[in-house]
Formats: sequence, C-alpha cells, structure tokens
Amino acid sequence: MTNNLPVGAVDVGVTGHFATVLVFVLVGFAFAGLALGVAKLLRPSAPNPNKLTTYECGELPRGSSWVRFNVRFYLIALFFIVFDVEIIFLFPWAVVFKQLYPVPGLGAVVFWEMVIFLSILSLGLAYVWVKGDLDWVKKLIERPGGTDQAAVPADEEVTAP
Amino acid sequence: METFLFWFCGAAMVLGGLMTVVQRSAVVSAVWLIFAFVAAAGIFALLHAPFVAILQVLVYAGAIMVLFLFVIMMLQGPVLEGERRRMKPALWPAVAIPPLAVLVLVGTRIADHGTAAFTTPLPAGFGSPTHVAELLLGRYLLAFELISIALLVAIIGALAIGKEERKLPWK
Amino acid sequence: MELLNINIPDWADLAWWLPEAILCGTFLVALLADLVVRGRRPWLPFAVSVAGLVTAGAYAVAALDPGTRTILGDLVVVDGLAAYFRLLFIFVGLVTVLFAWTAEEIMGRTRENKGEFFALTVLMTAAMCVMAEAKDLLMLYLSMEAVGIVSYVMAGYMRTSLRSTEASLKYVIFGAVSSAIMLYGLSLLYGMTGSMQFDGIRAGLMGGQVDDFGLLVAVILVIAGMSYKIAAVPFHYWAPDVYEGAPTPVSALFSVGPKAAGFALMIRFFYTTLAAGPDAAGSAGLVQQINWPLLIAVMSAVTMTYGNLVALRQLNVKRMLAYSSIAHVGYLLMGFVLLTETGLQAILFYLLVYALMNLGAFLFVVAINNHLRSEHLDDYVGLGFRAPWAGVMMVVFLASLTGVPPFAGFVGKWYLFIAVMDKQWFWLAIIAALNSVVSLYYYFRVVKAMFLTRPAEGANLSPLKLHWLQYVLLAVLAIPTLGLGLFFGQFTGLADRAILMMTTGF
Repeated sequence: MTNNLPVGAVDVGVTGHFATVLVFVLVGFAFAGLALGVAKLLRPSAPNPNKLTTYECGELPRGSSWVRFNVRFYLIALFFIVFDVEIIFLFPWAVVFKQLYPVPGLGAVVFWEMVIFLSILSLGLAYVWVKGDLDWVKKLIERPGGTDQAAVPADEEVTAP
Repeated sequence: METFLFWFCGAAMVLGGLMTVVQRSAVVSAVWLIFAFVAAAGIFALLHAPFVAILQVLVYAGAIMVLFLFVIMMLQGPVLEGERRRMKPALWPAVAIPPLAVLVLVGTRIADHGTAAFTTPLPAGFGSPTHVAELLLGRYLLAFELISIALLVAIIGALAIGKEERKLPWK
Repeated sequence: MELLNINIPDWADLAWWLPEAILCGTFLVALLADLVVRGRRPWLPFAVSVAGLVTAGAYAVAALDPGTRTILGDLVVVDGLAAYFRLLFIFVGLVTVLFAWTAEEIMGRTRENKGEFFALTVLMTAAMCVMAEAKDLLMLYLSMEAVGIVSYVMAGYMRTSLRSTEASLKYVIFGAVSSAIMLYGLSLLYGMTGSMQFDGIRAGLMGGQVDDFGLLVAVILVIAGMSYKIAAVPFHYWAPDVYEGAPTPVSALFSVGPKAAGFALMIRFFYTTLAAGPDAAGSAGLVQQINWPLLIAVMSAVTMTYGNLVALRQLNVKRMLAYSSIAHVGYLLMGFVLLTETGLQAILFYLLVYALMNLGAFLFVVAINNHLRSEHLDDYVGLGFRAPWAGVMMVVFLASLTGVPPFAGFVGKWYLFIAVMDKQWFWLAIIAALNSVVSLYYYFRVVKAMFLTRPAEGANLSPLKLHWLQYVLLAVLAIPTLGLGLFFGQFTGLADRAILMMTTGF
C-alpha cells in the first residue's frame, strides 16, 4: 500500500534557501574583514614582545601553555558525538511525524520505530552512567584482583601510568 | 553561478586538505581541517543535498573537530614532541602515486566524455529532510535500527578501551 | 506538492529474520543484565548469551529452507546462502563464547568488562549474518562497519596489554582506510547506475549507459575493500599483528567469522551484480577490460604462497596460525576464480571445514596458554604427554589444516581443486598442491614439538589439567573434522543446495 501524502515542498537549489546562507557567509566574512581592516588603518603600530606573551591574570606566565588534557574530556566529547548523531536522526523524523501519525497502520510504525531507536541509545546512556563515567570526581574502585601481585599475568607488559 | 561556486568550494576543499597535511602543528592542522569540512558542506549543498550539508557542518566541523582537538591536547607534549619524524623520501611515491593515478585517469576521462557517464538524474525533492525521513522510515527502516546498535557499540567500545587507567593495586 | 512514498512494512517477513532479531535482542539483554549486576557476576551475561545463541541457532536450523525472502523493504534477503552462513556464524559464535568462558585471557581475575565481551560476541554474530544477507549497498557497508567496530573493541580487550592495544589501533587504522577505499568504489557504482540495490545496479549495467572505465575503477576499489576483510594479499598487513595481539579466543573468532562473512558478501555481490552469467567470464564479467579470472587466480596464488612461506619462519604458534589463515584465504579464492557453481559450493564447504579445524587449533592454543602463559613453540615441547587427549585432537586439526586424507581438510581442498581443474586452470592447482606440501612442514613442526622432541633436562613435565568444557569443545570440533573426511556427502549436499537456491532464486 502506498500513501500519497502532500508535503511542503523544499526548495533545495542554490538559488533557493541556500542563497540566503551564502549571502550570510559572505556578509560574515566581509564584516570581520572590514572591522579588522579599518582597525589596522586607524590604530598606531607599536610592536612589543610583551604583547605576545600569554595572558595569565596579570601574572608572569610560567611553563608551556600546552597542558595535557585529562582523558575524561575526550570521553565526554565522544559521548556527545554519539548523542549528536542521534539528534540528527531525530530531525527528519520530526519533520514528517505529524503528517504520518494519523495514517492508519503507518502511525504506529513511525512512532515505535523511533521509540526502539531511542531506547537502544538510552541503554548506552545508562551504561555510561552506571559505569561512573559521568561523575567528574572519581571514586577509586576496588579491583576484583585485590592486591595480589601474582594476579598480573606474566605474558603482558602493564602500560606505564 | 553554480559552476563558479563548485570550483570555489572545490578549490577551498583541496587547499584545506593540503594545509591539513603539511602543517607542523597538529592544532593548526585541525583548524585547516574545519576549513576543508565547511567547503565540503558547500559542495553537498550544490549537489542538492541540503540535509547532508547541514549535517556535515554540525557533526564534522562541529562535534568531531572538538573531539580531534581534545585528542591533540591529550597527546600534545609528552607524545608528539618526541615523535617528529619525516617519512622516508623513498616512500613518498608509493603513497602518492596510486591516488594521483586514479585522480588523473578519472579526470582525463571526465574531460574527454563529460560527467554524464558518472551521473544519473535526481528524483524530485531529493535530499530534503522530508526525503531523508521518507527513506529512513520506509525502505531503510532496518538499517536505521541497526545504526542505533552500532552507535551503542561505539559507546561501549569508547569506554572499554578509552577509559582512564584506574589506580592498579599492584603498582 | 511532493508526495511521501512510504509503504507499511510486511511484518510477516520478519519471521524469517528471527535468528538475527533474537541475536540483537540477546546483545541488549546481556548488556542490561551486566549493568544490573554491575559487572560483578559475569555468569549472568554469559548465560544470557549462550541461551540467545542456542535459541537463534534452533530457529536458523528450522529456517534452513527459506526459498528467497526479502525482509522489510528489500535491504536484506534470506535465501539458501544466507541460511547456510548464519548457521555457520551462530555455531562459531557459540563456540567462541563457551571457550572464552574458560580462557584466562578473558576471564582472569584481573580482567575487566567480562560481560561486555559476551554481549559483543553475540552482536558480532548478528552483524556477520547480516553481511551474508545484504543486498543493498547501504546495508553492505553498514554490516561491514558493525562487524568492524565490534572487532576493534574486541581486539583491544586486554586493555593493560600493549600488544593488545597495538593490535586494536592497527586494526582501526587499516579498517578505516579500507572502508574509505571501498566507499569510494561504492559511491561510483551508485552514481553510475542510480541504484543501491544489487539487482538495480545489475539492471543499470545491463542497460549499457555506463562508462566502462569508471566501472573498472569502482570494481577495483570494491575488490580492494573486500580483500581487506578476508585478509588476502596485498591487503593482509593487519592480520598477523591483530591475530597475535588480540586475546586468543578473539583471534579464533577473527580468523573464521569475519573471513567467512567477507566471502559470503563477495559471493553475493559479485554473483548478483557483476557476473555476466554462470561460467562466462568470472567474477566481474560485466566489466570487460580485465581478465578477471586471471586477476583472482594470481591473487589466490600469491596469497597462499606468501602465507605459507612466512608461516614457515614463525616460532610463535599463534602467529604461525595467523599466517596459515592467510594461506587458507588463498585456497578459498581458488573457488572464486571462475565463479562457477562448483567453485562456490567448494568455497561454502571449505569454509565449514576451515571453521572447525581452525577454531580447534586456536582453541588448543587458548587451553595451553591458560597454563603456560606462552604460545612459543619451545614451550610446546612434551605437551603431547602432558595433555595427551588435547594433544591428539590438536594433531587432528593440524593434519586437517594441511589437507592430509582422511581428514575433512582433504575433502574440502579436493573440491576446490576440482573447481579450478574443471576449467583447465592446472597451473593454479599445481601451485596449491605445492603449497600444501610446504604447509606440511610448519604444521608438523608443532606436532613434532609436542610428541617427538625430547624435553630438556629438568623441564616441568607435570600433566596439565584442562577445563572439562575445553575437552568437550575440542571433541565437538575434532569429531566432525575427522568425520567429515569420511562422511561428507550430507554436508556438501547442504552447500550445493545453498548455492542452487541462490543462483536459481535471483
């Protein structure tokens, strides 16, 4: 069975909605370029090495500004991407949901399809949560191996901390 | 106009890609990669795939680049500084020739015969969110659910492998 | 105004897809169970996984004669080929899960994520089944990626081991590159034919509007991507390191599962989209500029020779088995040279035999590793007397891998030889025969170490007591390895039927 449903037509050409985006991008670049260019013309030029140092609340900077980030940032960013992709999939679904929901036979499919999709991904959220990776301050978890030295298998090198 | 925009975005993308590869600093490379991604989004828009274009900006230029920067910041210093080595010049051709060969061959082919052989006409309304939804909820229903499982595995994998080292009692 | 064109799916189809649905469900339930007990009772996800695999297996046996059914909108098809392969995958998955339960590398006291391991194995089984069923480019890619992601995680399972982490990283990088190469090929195919469906692509190609040269590039790129999956030379680089670094039960699964899934995918893809017809011009007959049979034959010869020659020099049994599995891909490709029904049947049968004997050999390594913490050949000295039953079964597996009669490996190879000799490809058969002789040397070096070499003075010769489950599983694998060599009619019949159903059904 095919359902013939009217849909609001989307103009996808360059001359359509994307022309707006293009103009927006061009204006954005022009604005930044204009502001910097005009400032360049007007301001006095007095280079000074102190101006290039890192600003640290008025203190003299010490050491390198390269610090090693905690791996936790990376994990959180990774989870963010996964759920970001989930939202992306939600978007087209939301666009057509209102039209499809009243259709007999199809409404339930459309509804439950997304419910299943979301519940599978919420299992991921539950997983992260239960494993304690959403807690920023970590508790030291007792390893099942205890303090038994012999528990380290002889065949493998334990990575450096 | 479309042709001009295509060449503009294409050139920007190639430039972005090249700069990504030749930069010495990984952070600057990452910023050039953002440039390349945005140019790619422009090409997607020109190809009548607005949804993919937006997705490219949101997911790749946005989220994934944040991840890249975190990884670089995590590795910078102790790891990257000790490992600044050049590839053996003898290996350059081995890496460069196969892709270049494909590029030249495809390019000359297109120059001789036009692009008609590589393209088929698009259906009406192609690439809009509605069209994407139609495919997701219709023909690709099964694939859609499989994607959620693949994403779940990605979460588990990230945790299982990437989790920070706990204090091991025997150290 | 545009029109939305969505069909209400036919849920009745889903009955033929029950095994995969059960496996996906099992994965979720096992994961949830592991969360509920906070990973402290690994037996719970283990029990869930075994129950799920057994149930799915029972349904797969019941649905062994499906005809040709497309499931929910033409993405996957369940036919003879799919039914045959999913039974194979579920068997492989079940053996892996059971054996992992007894393996120190997975279940040792200091290990983490035990529950996840079982859940992921189940999911990998499901994804491999989908690989064998995909008839749409999107599903093809998605199932390959699903298998890939799970593999990367499983290869890096031993998080504290540098070897394992390195294996995982290498796998990710090579996997990503090969995916990109294949995707480029797939997108060219889609661009030229305007269809994601295998039959649609075929129709597009038959229409004759397609640029020959673009098609050639696309097919070569796709072949490259798939060769990576089956680890054929020159796309084999990752295999030895990954097999050596991953936990041994995982290597056992890798060397059999994804390989067989890759072959299933290649058979379906090339047969239903690119072959010009049975016996015409081999795997990609619709693309005429290249002598495809010759290309595949050369690839097959190089793969088996390379695998065998490098395996000769290995003193680590696990790494030796990794190279030997590359060599076996070479033998398997012989059946692919002409894409005849005889050849495909031979591949299917050999994959079954290969699964039995290779799993067996790897699992013996697991069992020994539990006690010795080593896979080195020197440590295998005297094992034949320390663990006599397991040792004898290992001899059965190794003899079968060599292809000595009366073991199953001999029958499997015999069919592959017939497939190429039928079409007068004698040189390939001769190379394969020579290779089998070479492989005799390194397989029997293990046998020699176990039974013939005199142990050094003062060496530990106490008997090894293996887990009872290990004896049972080794016997389950060894008995058919012996039995199939003598009573193979039933199973070759199964392979013949599977291929016949695919070739006549499309």
